[in-house]
Amino acid sequence: MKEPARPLHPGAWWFFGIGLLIGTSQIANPLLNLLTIAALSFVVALRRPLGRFGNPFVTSLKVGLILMVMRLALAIAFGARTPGTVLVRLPEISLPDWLAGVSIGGEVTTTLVLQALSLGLSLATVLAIFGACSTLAPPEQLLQSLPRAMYEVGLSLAIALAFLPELVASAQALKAARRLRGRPTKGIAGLRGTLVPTLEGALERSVTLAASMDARGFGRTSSDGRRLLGQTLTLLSLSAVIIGGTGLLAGASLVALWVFLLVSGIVGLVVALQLRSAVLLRTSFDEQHFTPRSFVVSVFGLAIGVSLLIAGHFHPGLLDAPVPGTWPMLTPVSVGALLGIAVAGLCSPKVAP
Amino acid sequence: MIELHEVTFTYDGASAPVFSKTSLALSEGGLHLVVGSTGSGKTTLLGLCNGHIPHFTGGRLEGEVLIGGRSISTSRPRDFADLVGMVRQNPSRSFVADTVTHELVYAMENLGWSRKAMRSRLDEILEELDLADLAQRPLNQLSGGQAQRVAIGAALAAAPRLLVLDEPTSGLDVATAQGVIQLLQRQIAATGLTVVLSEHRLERVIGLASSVVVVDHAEVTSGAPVHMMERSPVVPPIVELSRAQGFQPLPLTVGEAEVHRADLLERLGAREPDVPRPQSPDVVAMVEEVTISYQGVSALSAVKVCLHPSEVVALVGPNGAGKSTLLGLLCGLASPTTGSVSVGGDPPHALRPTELVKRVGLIPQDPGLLLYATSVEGECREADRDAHRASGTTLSWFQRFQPSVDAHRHPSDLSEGQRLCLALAIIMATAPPIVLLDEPTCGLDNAAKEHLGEVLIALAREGTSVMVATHDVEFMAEIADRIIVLQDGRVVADGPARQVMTSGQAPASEIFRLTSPVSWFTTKEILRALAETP
Repeated sequence: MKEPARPLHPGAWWFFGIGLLIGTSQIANPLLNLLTIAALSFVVALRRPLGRFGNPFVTSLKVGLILMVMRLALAIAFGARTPGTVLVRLPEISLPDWLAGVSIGGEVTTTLVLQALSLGLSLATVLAIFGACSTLAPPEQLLQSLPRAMYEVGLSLAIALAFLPELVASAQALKAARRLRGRPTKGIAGLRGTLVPTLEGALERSVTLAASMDARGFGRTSSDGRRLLGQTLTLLSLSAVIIGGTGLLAGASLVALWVFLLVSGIVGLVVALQLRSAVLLRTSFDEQHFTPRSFVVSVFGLAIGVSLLIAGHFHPGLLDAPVPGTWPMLTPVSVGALLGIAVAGLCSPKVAP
Repeated sequence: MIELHEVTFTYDGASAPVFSKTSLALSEGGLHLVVGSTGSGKTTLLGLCNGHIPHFTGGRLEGEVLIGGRSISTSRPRDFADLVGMVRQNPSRSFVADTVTHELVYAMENLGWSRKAMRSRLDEILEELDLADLAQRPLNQLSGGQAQRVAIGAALAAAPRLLVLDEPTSGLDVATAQGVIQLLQRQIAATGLTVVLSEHRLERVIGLASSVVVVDHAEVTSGAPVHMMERSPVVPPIVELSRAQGFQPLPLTVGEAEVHRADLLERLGAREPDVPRPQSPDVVAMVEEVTISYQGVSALSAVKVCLHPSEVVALVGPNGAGKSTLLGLLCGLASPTTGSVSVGGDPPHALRPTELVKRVGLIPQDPGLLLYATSVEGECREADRDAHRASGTTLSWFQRFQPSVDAHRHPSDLSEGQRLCLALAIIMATAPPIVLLDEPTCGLDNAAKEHLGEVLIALAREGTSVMVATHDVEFMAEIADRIIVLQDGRVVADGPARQVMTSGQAPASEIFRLTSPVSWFTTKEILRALAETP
């Protein structure tokens, strides 16, 4: 039997997403944006890790839709009047002269609507990319791949991430309890009654979590002497960086001294980090290798982003919102580039069941 | 393994120490059962075992506590991680990772095990604790029994020599609890592990204990189980009966008491167990052919249940059988996917909260969820206002349930049993004809449990329909007029308590197993019968 491919490094999909953003964030062309979302949906459906609660991609699409509607509503209400075929004429409120440029109501034209929708869609696409990345490589996993010395920073972030669902669960339990006591569960009164106990419950849970981590050896170090050395060095180096940096920025004389302080501070920090890594006993169960495939996926994102920009350069108007009455432009290169998203998905290894 | 030398411990701000000049020595290997009533210092004793107390909680510790030869004054909990595994009450609250595998390897990672060692130990643990199918499962998708197994696995993973568990079976059904206890027994036999375990449901563990530690308000004594059970303030039902009847040597389990069975039945002579009370023909709540499904999985299917006034119904069944869902349905927290439910003529999920509380009250598993105020008195005052009742109504209910509690105390300073009674008083402010309780005996000691039973029976005699979802077989035997057994979301039995227990569809109490087929239920019932002249 064939050995299953090693999983991607969690950073791979995030590098992919950032590369993609370089191109897609410039696009207002709705066809290209829809194509991007379609391709991302394909990849998410294909490679979503199983057994995970919730699907951030779907959430991001929903939020994107809401943003689009809001963008449209704002444009209709307050947008600058643009020429074009008039769809509806809203009552216009005249504003004093010093507010020229801002208008409320007035003519709603096709151009206005089309522009608003296109820009809204482009925002939704950016959101969808983030949603897809968090679905394909959950942020918790990404945090785990941080260097060992930064483990505690990653951990605090991970706990903060876990705090939110806990808060929701706690609020739901309290809402049910309020109903049992015959108290309002909605509106301001309902909110006031649940807010404090919700936070209280979540805080209690954090304390339990800390005790539990402590009991299972979290933060065990091999030698107290070296730890103290590391802490002292961190403190000294940070002071040096701050003093050196401030001195340089303030433009005071003795430039050489400030530069020396700054550089030695930075070197000190690097050494302190190394020392910290050496002192921490912690090992990690998950193997996270930046496999060749991880590399391929990361490069794909960048390649797609850059080729979109290049295509836009050679075909002016390709990336822009369409003019009413014309079909948005599509070129073989742009379509091919976006299909590359799906190809990247196919390149990535299957997720473990 | 555990040595306490003249230990005195006082929590910050407490007027009296939990222990004073206490000494204790527990040998290596075997299962040491810690018993005592609520507030006696059991949890404090367990907390000392890895320095959680005083390092995490604060407080003043005098004397010396040695765990495996290491002093807790100089070592922090994390320094004990290789020696002591801790399993706290309510395991799902102490999970630190996302999936079962990550939870299991967490301690090994912190202790710096190599990846290869971790992998082989992980396989061992998955195998031994029967978790292999769950390895990739997110922790929030585990049932109660699975969560308890994972918590024990996570504590055992780094191969500690001492495992400490605080009430590991209180939230579990009988079969699952048995599985957990057997698992511990296997570990003790295979690896020479020392297990220290506290438990209110003594009948579940006493047969396997190699020693018993009785914690009784600053008095800590330990010894052989039989010896300690002679004088312990808390005992399982069989021991209570045997002590009253003077059986010697003192039997601890139904099996050991078997030799005294004939003698006991002879003493009982022609006396018979209490006759069940007649059921009222009136109906206060009706559930008809209700199915509730969440995302395609049905929590209840085609359930048909009636509640009558003036009865205590015990709702039993394994973890995840749908008991809480049925209670939620009756008080409007869940609505039926198909079928209908009515409470006093209306579907509860459609009623406004103020109207709902006049018809049905529910005490959730954590009664603290119902409490907001900073004193018992304040809580009662708010309940009066919510219910539009004369001021003092709720407080008088509370004083009826707990006559000796100072009304100025903070609800979180009350014992579990007192807090439960406060929640019950709040529910009773509107005098609903139906009162529902979800696992009320979790965390209650025997005295508090008995008191709660009396309170509920008294309410039922006054006309209230009481329904209690419970895993506690002894409590069920004590209070139930009727038993409903749920399994996989279906009602598999519904009838008079004695009948359902005799049919074997509901788990049987210890006394019932001993006296079967005469079917006495509880120690109390037998002792009452014996006190009467035949």
